[in-house]
Amino acid sequence: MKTTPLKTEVGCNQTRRQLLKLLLATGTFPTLVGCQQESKRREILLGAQGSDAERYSISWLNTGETKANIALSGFRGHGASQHPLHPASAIMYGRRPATRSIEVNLVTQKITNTFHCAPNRHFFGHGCFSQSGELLYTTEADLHTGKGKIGIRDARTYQQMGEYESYGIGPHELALMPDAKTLVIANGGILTRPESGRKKLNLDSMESSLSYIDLESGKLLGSFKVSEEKASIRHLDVAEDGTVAFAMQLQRSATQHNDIIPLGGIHAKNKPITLLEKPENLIHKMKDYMGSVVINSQTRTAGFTSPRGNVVAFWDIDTQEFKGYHTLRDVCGIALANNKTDFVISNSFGQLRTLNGSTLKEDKTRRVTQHNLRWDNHLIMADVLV
Amino acid sequence: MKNKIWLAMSASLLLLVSCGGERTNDPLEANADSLSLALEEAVNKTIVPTVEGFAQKSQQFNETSTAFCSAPTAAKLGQLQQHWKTLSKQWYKLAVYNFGPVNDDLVFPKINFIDSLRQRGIDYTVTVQNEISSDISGTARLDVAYFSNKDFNRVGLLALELLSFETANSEHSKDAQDIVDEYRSTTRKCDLLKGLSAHHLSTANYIRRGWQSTHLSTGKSYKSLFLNNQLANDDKPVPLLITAIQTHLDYLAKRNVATIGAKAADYSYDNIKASIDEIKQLLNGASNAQASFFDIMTGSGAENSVAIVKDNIIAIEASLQSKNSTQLNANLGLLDGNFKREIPNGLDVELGINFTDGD
Repeated sequence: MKTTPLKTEVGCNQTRRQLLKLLLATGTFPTLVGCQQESKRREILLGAQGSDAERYSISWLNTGETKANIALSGFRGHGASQHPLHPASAIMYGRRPATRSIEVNLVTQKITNTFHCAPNRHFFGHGCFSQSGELLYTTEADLHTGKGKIGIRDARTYQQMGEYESYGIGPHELALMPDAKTLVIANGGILTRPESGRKKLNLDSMESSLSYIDLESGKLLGSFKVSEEKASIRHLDVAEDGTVAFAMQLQRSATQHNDIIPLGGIHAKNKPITLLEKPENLIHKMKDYMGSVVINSQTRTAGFTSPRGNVVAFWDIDTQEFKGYHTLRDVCGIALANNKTDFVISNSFGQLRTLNGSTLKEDKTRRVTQHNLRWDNHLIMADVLV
Repeated sequence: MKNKIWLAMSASLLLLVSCGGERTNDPLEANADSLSLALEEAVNKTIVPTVEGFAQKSQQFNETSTAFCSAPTAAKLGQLQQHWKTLSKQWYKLAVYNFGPVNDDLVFPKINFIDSLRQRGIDYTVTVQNEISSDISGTARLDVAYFSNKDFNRVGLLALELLSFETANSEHSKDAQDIVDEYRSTTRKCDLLKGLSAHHLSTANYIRRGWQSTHLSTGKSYKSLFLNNQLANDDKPVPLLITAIQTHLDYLAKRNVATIGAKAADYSYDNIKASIDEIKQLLNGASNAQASFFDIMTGSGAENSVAIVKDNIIAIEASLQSKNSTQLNANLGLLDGNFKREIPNGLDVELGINFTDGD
């Protein structure tokens, strides 16, 4: 989840106003307000990082500062979310096929909770909260059947309360729709099992889909596919109006052709999926792989990263017009800054760059490089009172 | 007093000589200094000579085209074909370094205009055959501007290959006399050969200028930018080099270049061998190099990795020799893997965790 604080603080993609409502409703707000005289509001960039088992961690830093905080996890993380009920806490989800995830306190820098999936399940690396912040949804797999599941947990205790079908194999990223009643899920379509690690077991028969499920009943509301069967829908983000942008990874070795396959797509309500087909040469440069996507609702622009192409590219989510690109080695993380305008991108060489959301030009004065950090796939922005 | 000074000087000299001797035999460990030295040696003694060689071979082919067209004969055609092969081999050496001047633009890089197959493994033979046929029968003025405006998949080595190795008529005869007769009877074919050859030469010279003199608008040579760690986007030279080679190997295998490349000249295996020879020299170091990437890996205790890489190269050479494309592609895949793991690990270089193992 690479979101503005407004999205990550509350559920998967909600507004600052909704956060305030939630804080009032949950009684958290007075505590925060009470502390506010001594506290400062901090914009924090947050993500999984590390290149080996000894350094795997969740790491974060205040924007404008260069010193990062690190909480060692002992396992490689993937996506992250800010906890809506405890905004000073964040969740880092274990990278597939993981069996654990952690909650970390961003002020004390301590891991405050570790939760595991059920014995016959594994995590895929992403999760999101309900509108109320009371429930946590995680993408999981049934180890016996291979079917995708959405684990439902009490967001305070992380006790599992139930699960839904994801209506596909290999559910990866998911997000709460603006109606707060629907989850959108990227079913990558690829079967993996912990005993065989990350080996892809069903490339011949893989089927990827974008599924919408009703949060109340768990029923499937709609399922959408792209024409290229070997394109795995893996990551997504949701605009304030419910338009979904998704990023794919083509399993080239399983295809029988050399065609350039679009890697990004847009799905707006009551419309068919549209793919981002141009410019072909740029898509070709991405080497069949997009790693993250984030939407800027103000400028109606979606940014997609490709670490294999060393590029982040931007398209208009309404017209599908290509808007520009920025090159950065091994770029993968992308988040929207708290001003809701700028994009922030990260790479595994500890570099952070800020791009203006309208002009897409880099503000070089805001470059940060921390040579000891290795930002992994995803980056989120959070607001914390410290 | 003089004797004391001489004694002291002699002792110092002995010490220096003995230190020097030891230094020469010291194994190179993977650190910034040794990597810098190996990189400098690789650039000066392998990469830049390859760039230079490509420009020279392009010049040679251009001159041969002119000579052939002045009075087409079977003997001169043989020379033209031979020089195309030499040029093509030199290109497959240079293609290993798909960065800098070769890949100077995100959307329209020079590499595409030299080798359209390299874009995404699409064989544009029929497109080029149709274009040649159309150009010969057309009336357009075949001048510099005409060739400069052509799309990437209508120029470059493929166009020069088809002009050199087959007739432009629907039979596409490969008989030398048929080809010569066609040139004699169709002057526009010669205009086409000379024009496309000159266009290609300008691309080769652009790459040479970029490496040796001025790259884009930097005011500096790419060689200088590369060796002084001043690359755009904070790119780092060694990871860039390793990644480029890995990507090239991936391309050769996944796009099955042995089967679809250089068909008219029947030269795909020789081309791939040229790439492998280049990679071998890059890793081993040129014969006069003081340090190589293999030296560093060995000095860092990664002898086993060096042995694995060498074995995989030997296996590739064997499959090239037997012209077994299935085996070749599998072996290229193994060497590709070495450039993702053994080599960067042995050199203590990071390629990027998302690039290497994204999710």
